[in-house]
Amino acid sequence: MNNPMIKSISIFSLLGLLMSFTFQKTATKYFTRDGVITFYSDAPLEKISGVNNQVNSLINDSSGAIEFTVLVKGFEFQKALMQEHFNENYMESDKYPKAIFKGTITNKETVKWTVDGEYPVTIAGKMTLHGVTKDLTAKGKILVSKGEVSSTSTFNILISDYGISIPSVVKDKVSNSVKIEVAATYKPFK
Amino acid sequence: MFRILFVVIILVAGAVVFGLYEYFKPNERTADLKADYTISAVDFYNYYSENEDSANLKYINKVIEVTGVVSDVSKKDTSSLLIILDGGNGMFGVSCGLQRTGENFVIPEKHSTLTIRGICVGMDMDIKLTRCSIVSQKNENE
Repeated sequence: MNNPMIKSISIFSLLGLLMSFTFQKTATKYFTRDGVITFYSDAPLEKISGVNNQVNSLINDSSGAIEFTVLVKGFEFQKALMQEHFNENYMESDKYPKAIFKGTITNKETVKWTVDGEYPVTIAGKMTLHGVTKDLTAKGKILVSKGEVSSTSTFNILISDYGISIPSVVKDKVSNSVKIEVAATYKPFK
Repeated sequence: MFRILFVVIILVAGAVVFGLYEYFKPNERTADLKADYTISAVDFYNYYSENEDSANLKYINKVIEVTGVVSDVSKKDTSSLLIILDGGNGMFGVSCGLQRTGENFVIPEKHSTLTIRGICVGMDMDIKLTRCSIVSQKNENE
């Protein structure tokens, strides 16, 4: 240990260890309240889409945890009647006001949160919709542009998986398979 | 006989027109609706935080006219503007999604005072109003 070379190396490695330790401890949380979720139901006789511009989302960059919550009544439609049917007949939003996804980015180590770029991710977790909780895995992207973090994903769900049934008289107008698009731009959360 | 047939045809035509009208009816403009409740953003937020269940029963799907100080403005294209009125804690408050009607208005500045009318859809950290329109706005330095 008297060799100054070895001494300095060991000091540096100790410093490095300390630094990596502190970096691990300071997780950054990213938050947004203005995420957008759009869904599309393309049935043979009718195309329906609804959009919600007030989605809350939170990402923890060190644990990879990612969460979305949305108020079902906040979805807007082109036609007033669609919005009414969506809330009353299908989603029963008085009884089940929120839809929630809680999951983790399974390949979080590939995302460089402070380096501009486009990072493909896989997100696995549980989605609660209409009072039913199901496992859900979706592919998406984390985008970092000028230091700003955003997320996008597109996936399909079967609404029958969530206990929502389509009356046979409208089965040509409401599709059982619904495409969901998610887009959110975050700010660091203090 | 012919007269009865004529009346029936008129009735059926009327029903079809009414049905089509109801079917294609867009959401009403909130600016044209009368407010069910008029309240300050701080009072609204405090009431909601303390009694979420009873607040839901009272306010959901109602037209709320809320006045408060702008703490955040996001998505600055007017097709989907989101304005946060401070609930008194500097972080959460009343989140107001503006109706996408292409109305002309000045994008409000932070710290200005606004009165917004919208439909309450519940609370998820912020109270959320949809289909909002700005009733009146004044900037601090005016």
